[in-house]
Amino acid sequence: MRQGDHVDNLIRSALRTSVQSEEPSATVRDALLANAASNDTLRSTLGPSIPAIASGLQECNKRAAELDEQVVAANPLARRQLLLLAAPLYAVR
Amino acid sequence: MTSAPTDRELIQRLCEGDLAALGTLYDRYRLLSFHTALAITRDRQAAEDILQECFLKLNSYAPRIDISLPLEPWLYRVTVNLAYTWISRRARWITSLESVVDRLVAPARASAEYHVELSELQTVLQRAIDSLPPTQRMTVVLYYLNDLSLKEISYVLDCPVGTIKSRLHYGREQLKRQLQPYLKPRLEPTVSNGHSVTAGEEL
Repeated sequence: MRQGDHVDNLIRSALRTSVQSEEPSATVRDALLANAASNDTLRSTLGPSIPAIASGLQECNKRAAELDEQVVAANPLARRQLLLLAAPLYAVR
Repeated sequence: MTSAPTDRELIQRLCEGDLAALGTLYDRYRLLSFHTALAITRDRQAAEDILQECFLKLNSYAPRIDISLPLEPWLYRVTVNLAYTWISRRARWITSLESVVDRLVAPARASAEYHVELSELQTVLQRAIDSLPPTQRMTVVLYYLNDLSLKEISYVLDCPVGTIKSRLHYGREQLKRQLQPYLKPRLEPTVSNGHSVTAGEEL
């Protein structure tokens, strides 16, 4: 037997012997299926509804911005009131 | 009697959300992934984590898998990538204690007796494999443990065949160097019961 073949056989044998009797524990299968089920549920629950939630939030933001503009426009004193509130402070100085 | 479903059928069922198909694929290929991960990482817990992660990826990526191709190379590829990530992370925080130990015990090895038990030789070899750089170790594992061809390894590791050849050559040379103190004496003829026997023949 050539030394090269001998080395190859040793490497092969050492690697195979080191793992051949090893089995993953049974809990791995259970955990895998539980995780896969949980991921699938998350995907099917959130997946289709995410665009709806996102567009709902955008709509909400838009309305809030419009409402702010309306409040400012309807109350011309709003900014002046702030100035009036700040005035005494300047007076004290 | 119904024949076992093919990988193709199982992946199609998986795409439809049938987790029993994932269980069947796991039962079919768990050792392929687990043994490869274990041989690369030498850590049982890590190998189990990699095994689980590999099949979770199979579940997630099932719609993107080309069912006209065999599944095994895809599983090898994912397993090896996960194992490589694990080794790289581990290497960041663990100093090479094993190599230090190897250096300390090297003189003892050199003076070892000629007739070394095969199990001891395997332990030495296993340490030598562990000390290979990750890319060489993965190549050696895929070639010697999984019997993959150079072309198949080149697909799994996403490298040209020439690179795989070179990694295998240097990995093998390094293993041979570390085995030399054990091999040389064993190849010399020894007299036993009047017969000239080489250790190579004994194995």
